[in-house]
Amino acid sequence: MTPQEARYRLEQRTKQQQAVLFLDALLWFLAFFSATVLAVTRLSGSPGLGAGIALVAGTIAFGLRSRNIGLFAFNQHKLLQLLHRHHKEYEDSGDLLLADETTLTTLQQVQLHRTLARFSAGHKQLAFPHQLKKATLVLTTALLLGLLIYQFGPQLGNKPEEDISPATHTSTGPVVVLPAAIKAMRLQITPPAYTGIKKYTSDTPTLPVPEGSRVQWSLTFSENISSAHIHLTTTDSSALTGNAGNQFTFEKSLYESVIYRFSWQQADASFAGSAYYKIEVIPDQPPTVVMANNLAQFTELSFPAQHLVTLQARLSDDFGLSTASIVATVSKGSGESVKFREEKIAFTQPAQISGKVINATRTIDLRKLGMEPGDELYFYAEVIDNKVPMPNKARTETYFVSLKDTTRQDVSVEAGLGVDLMPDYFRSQRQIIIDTEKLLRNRKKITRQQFNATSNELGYDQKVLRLKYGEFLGEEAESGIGVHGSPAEDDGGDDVTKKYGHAHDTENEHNLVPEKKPEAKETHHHEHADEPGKEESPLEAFAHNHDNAEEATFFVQSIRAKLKAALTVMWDAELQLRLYEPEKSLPFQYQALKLLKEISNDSRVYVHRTGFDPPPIKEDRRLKGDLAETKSTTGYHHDKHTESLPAIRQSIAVLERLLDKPGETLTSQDRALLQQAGNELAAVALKQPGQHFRSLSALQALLQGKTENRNTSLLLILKSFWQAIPGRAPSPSLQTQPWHSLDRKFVDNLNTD
Amino acid sequence: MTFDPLFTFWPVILTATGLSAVFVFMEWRRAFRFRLLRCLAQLLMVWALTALVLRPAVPKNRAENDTILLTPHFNAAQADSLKQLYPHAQLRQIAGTDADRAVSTWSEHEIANTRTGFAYVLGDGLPPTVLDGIPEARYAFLPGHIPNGITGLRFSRRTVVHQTITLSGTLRNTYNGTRMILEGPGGAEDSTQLKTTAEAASFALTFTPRQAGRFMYRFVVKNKAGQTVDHIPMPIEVRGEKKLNILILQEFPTAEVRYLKNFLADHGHRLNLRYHLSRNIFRYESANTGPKKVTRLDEKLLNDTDLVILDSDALKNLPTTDRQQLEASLAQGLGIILFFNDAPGTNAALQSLHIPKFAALKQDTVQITLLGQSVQLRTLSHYMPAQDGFQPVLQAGNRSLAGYTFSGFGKTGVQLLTETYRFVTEGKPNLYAALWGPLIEQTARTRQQPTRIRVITPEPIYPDEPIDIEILTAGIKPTLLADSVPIALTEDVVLDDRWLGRVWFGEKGWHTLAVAEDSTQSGLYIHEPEHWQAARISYQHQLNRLRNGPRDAIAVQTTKPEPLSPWIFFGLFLAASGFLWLAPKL
Repeated sequence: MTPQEARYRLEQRTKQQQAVLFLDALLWFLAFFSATVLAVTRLSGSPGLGAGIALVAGTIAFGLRSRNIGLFAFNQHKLLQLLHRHHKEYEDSGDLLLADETTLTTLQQVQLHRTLARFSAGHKQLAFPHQLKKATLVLTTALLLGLLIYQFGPQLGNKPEEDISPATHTSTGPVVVLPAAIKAMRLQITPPAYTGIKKYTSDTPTLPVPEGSRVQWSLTFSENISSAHIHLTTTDSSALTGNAGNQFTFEKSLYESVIYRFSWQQADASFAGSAYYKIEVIPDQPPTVVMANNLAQFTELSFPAQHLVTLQARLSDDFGLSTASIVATVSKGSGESVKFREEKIAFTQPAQISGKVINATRTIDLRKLGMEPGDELYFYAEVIDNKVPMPNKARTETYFVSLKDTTRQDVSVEAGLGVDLMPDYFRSQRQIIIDTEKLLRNRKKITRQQFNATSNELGYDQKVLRLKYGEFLGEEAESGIGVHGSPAEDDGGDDVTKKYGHAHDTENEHNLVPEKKPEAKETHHHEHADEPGKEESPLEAFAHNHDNAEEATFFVQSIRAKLKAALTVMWDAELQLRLYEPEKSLPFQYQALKLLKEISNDSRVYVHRTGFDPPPIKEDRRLKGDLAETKSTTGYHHDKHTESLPAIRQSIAVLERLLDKPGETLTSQDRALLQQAGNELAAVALKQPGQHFRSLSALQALLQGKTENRNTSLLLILKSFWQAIPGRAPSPSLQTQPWHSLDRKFVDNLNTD
Repeated sequence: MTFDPLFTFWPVILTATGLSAVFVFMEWRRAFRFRLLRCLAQLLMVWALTALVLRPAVPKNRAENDTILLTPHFNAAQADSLKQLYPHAQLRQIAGTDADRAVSTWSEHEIANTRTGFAYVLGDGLPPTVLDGIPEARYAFLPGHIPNGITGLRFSRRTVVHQTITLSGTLRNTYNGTRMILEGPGGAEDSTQLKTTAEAASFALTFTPRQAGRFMYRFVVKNKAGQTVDHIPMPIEVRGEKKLNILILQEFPTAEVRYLKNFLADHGHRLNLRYHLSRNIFRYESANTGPKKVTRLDEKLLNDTDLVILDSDALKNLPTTDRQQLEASLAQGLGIILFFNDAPGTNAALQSLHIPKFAALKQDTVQITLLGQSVQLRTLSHYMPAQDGFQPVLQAGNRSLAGYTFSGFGKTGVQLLTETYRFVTEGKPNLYAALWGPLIEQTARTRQQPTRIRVITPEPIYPDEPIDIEILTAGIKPTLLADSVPIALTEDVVLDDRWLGRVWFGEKGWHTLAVAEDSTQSGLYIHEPEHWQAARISYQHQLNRLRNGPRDAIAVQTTKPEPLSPWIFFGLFLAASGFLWLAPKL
């Protein structure tokens, strides 16, 4: 081998080694590119973005790797370095192969020939180390990693449809393929000014918009068309604005979700239509108001020490609040003389209500409201948002604040009155207390026997009072611990007391609740308790379930609980009186009095009068039996029997016919009917989100003759149509039958017999 | 030898003998060659002609009915056994039979005209159209196997919208179906579990159509793995509700009638109501019809009314003329439903309406079953015991609480349940409809229909099969239109106004039978031949079993004269006459 030939071989070998290095760098490029494209596509949801970023990442990886392995600096000298490093037999003399022979010394020439001989013999077996295995491993790992991310990685790019923040200026709905004839569709959404959301545009026809938004559709058709219409489920079809050409627009304010589609007349006078799209209107949510501090719904204050009530409310709304106030009602007096006064009080902090979330406070001075002990304040916070034209309102529950009545009203018998008009056999709780205290005062003046007898009588009075209140609680018979017999058997019955008694300290003192008639009680048989397997009925909610304290309906739950507590205390009071220990009975009696007073106050609830208040009939016209002005009247029950979804009902027959005869084509009447049925179905689809949308698309494809599998499409549409029809209870139907002359003769003969 | 002469035997013989003598004598006298042969030719010619008239036959021993007829789905082993037993028997098959052997095929026409008959029929049997042509034929029928599918189906032909329809039947289920589903246009309607590998698994499926029209339901049979093993189309024609004309008379308004009125008005029935408020003062109401004041019950009003609902007090206070008219209209077909404002009793007015007898009930509430639910209702503490002419509609156990009696062409219904409106207030309109619907429907007048169409040919019917139609009319001569094509009809020779016709439909799918003189229409579905084969074959088996004859028919050997072919005698005549023509020229 000559030196020239050796140089040629070296050059070839250098190129081979460069190719290996290039392959190495290329594998690194592919590794980074593939991993990045998969990961970014998954995360962003945009393949284009993924490819772009991956290209950059791959190029960087390629560059770094090339620099690392010296791809671009590789030449024959680098190859000779490798040769010297990995093949010691060349004795570091490879450079002689490239040197000019004429310039070499004798020794160098001897060495050159030695090297040439070795090179000639072994140049084909020369092998240099490379890192292709490592690069392949990197590529494999990167691919696996990328695939893992692509399959299971999070999707950061797909924002939920409900996100309609002002910053969202691009499409938020799913990608929808537009029909071929519509080249582009752009929706400009202008939300109401009060929402504070700026105008934005979208290229997707299916998207959510805030309630009241003005939507402008701008359509560009791929060719000139004669006219275009939009068909909204909420209204009839409307023509799109635009001269005959390929640009059309339409504007509408949306207050409820719509399903819509476009139809257009093409230049050749044929009609075409788009698929159905949906715009979901996100309604303006009503504001929320929550009492922030731990204010109990029922609060009792000691006046005048506690006369300030601090209210803290947290107000919020999705778009903003406009006003908020406290509506307070002061009630004064008792019984039929209760008076109410309503005031609207503004929050003091902040002075102006605006913004989305506000912590508002107000301290109410009860004295300034003119309240006195025994009076009550009912209030609630009301908040109104900034929606126009009809703002949303919200309010809290009603809170009650009562000022404790510490005054004591004693019943006194006029000194000059010779006769005690109050019957002895029925006393109020306060009277029993007075009598008990009087008994204790006179203890030393009377005999032991008299004392015990009086104490026992007071115990009896206490029992009568307890039974009276027990009746309000729904207890018809005496009930309690250790009591099984009838009170009438023990003590001569309480019928006498009911007949002649006058109950004080009772809820029904002023006969607001009708008294139950004793005879009704006697004749009322509780048969329903014996009925086996009685089905639970909603009517029971309105029925009076007797002799069950839990079911009594006279009072609300809190009052009932208090009344039960009062009855329990009365038991204890009676017990002590019966044991001739009135001093031990007094605390229980006071407790019972306090509870009864509270019940009396709790039941004083203000309710606004509603409905028609007829004027009273003059007494001179009553019960005369004069029917002169009474005449026969006629009434007309309007026909409500109009079948819903008429087009869908008729279309079912068309679909059945098409299914039965696969070769039959749609007539123009069929098309019109199916189109109308599609609009009806779209209206149904709005109320049943997620249903019928595929059927609507299939229907549109069918009408355009673009359906791939007609039978499947027809079945799908038919199913939706059928499901859209509401079910109804069966109705009796007229029966018909041909009457043969023999039938008539037969029946006539039967009658003769 | 026997003869089957066309004319009387002996005159023919005498004539032939005379003619022979004359012709032989004349031939003998002719002076030509072959005298003897010519005389013999004359004899042969005359007697050959005589034989053509006398039609001689030669006795021959042979088996009667020596044919084994194969039909589709025959059992090959049975055919082989029979052939082995009767080697001289002939095998024949009908069209559509894949006998897989050299067997000649008989057309329907040939079967009808076969003189020898057939002893055995194997397989599905002869179709009804062939059986019609051989009414006297008797044979041993050895049925083949019935394919999987529905072999029998029962359901009410009165399919009205919103009313529950039950389809019950039997399924030959050797394909291991575990579940049967009834699918309608809106998806699955009902399903039931099946006995696997049952020869006849019974099923009952229900559905409630939401719309009137012609629909294709489907029976889907699935196996344990959830795979569909069979798919049977079920065409159903659902009819719309026909509205009633109802008159309600009340002595005073009640909640019961108010809810009933609302129920009927909401369903589109035409109502007129009259409440008696005070003396000579009434309140009139109407719904789904023009405002109308019903002041008196005349014939025209009641003829236009299908049902009168009134309470016992209103009936008692009706003027005599009104009551008489009510009775007369009842006899002519009017329906009456009676309410009792208190305990039901009897008086002259009630007796005239032929109301049923009542018996006291101890309790004032009863437990009845409606739509599969047990519900409790109040009653008037009476019930109607079983009696002649009484038809119960609602029963608690064996005690009838609602029902009707016949009176002429009309019916008088009674409802003893009270406070039924609670179903409406409880939001159970279906229970309310189930309680009142049957009583109202069955008691109301049955309107006269001019014609009725009935398809006599049992389903399934396949393309190009004859379909027998029966039309009953009320004295008119009908014109049957099959898909707008007039069809000839013949009137029954015995029964007036019963007309029969036969049609053929060539295409599968729905077809319409209509009477031109009336709006009466009836839908008929022609199935694809591969559907409902199990039902068709099962029905065919039943028909063929009715023709079952002796099993040993093929073994009977009889001697039967076999006529000699007339061609022989004709040939002899030609030969003899030809010789006679040729002999003078030789």
